Amino acid sequence: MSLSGALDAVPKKDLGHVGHSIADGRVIEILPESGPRWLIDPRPDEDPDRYKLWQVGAPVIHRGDVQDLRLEVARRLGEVLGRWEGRAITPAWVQEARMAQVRLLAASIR
Amino acid sequence: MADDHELLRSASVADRLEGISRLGSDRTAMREMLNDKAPFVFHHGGSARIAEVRTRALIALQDSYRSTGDAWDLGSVEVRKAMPALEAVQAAMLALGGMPEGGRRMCLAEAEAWLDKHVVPSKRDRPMLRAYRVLQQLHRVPYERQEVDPKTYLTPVQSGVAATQMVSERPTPHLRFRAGDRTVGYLYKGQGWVFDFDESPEGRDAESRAQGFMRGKGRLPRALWNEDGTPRIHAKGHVDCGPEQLEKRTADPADYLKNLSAFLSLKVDVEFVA
Repeated sequence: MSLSGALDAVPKKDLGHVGHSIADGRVIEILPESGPRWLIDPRPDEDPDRYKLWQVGAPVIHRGDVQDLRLEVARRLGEVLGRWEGRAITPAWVQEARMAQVRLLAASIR
Repeated sequence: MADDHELLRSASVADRLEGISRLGSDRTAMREMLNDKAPFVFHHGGSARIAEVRTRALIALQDSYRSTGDAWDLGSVEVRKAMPALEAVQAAMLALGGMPEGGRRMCLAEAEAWLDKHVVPSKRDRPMLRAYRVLQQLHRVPYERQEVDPKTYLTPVQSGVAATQMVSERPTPHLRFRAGDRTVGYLYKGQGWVFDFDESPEGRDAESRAQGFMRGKGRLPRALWNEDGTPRIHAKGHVDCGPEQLEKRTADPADYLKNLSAFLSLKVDVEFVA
């Protein structure tokens, strides 16, 4: 179980939504095609700077620096957005992804 | 009017922008706002950009002078293009990355305090605006002093921005709006109706007229057409219409756009492109 494994299960068109949830500090639910679902809490009450990742039904909770989570999702968004660079007319999910990428990078400045 | 002037003195950028939109013809008030470097986030062409309050004050002044035909007597003005938010954030990351820990913290704290005093940003926009403010503090936001053209009342930067905003292809069917030989905007249906206009005075005028027809349900009577494809105009100057009504949500987009073009064509240069 890893952050990378959980994020690999996110369809690219949903990555922007995940990015906004992280920027807003909202819990994210990831539903892989098979197997139990993943949950990420980017801002747990008990330790707001360390995200919490777990698989429903599994006893172990993984934690990491929320900065790593922001930058990893921003990096993935950058990969997805590459082919849309410079284009003004894009699907709504591209605009959502662009905004999420900016927000995550901006929030990572500290 | 006292309340409107108070808006211009508010700590909140949102209030000051509202004040500018209400008091645009007050040249004395607008001139004072030309020094307002506070940034705000807006969206254009599918991405977030950051502009400064004074750009809106400049546009209000230009509109005021243009409407009366008075000669521009304010001399050169300081201008810059709106900065893509991603560019601001990446530039700030780079600049801060090269600073010692103490200096970086001090720079960020100064930016935060300044935003609280001069912007009062939303929680969502704050990180982007903090990045831009860091660049301002480090003198990494370039500005130019430019003259205002006596005929268009625009600076070269503004003319350039208007020219480049409308060069790429738009989805069809659409309405294309022109001013002389220049395209100033498009209207089409994507996931919703898209008002895609440049920031020139003609672009803003055309957008405002199109939005006027499309408020609410955007209900319009069915226009009647001449054999040569031009709308039939009544002797009293309005468009001749049939009994049928079209609404923007339910009508076929091409049908709706063509019909809308009949009404808009009385005031602006518009072409329906299938």
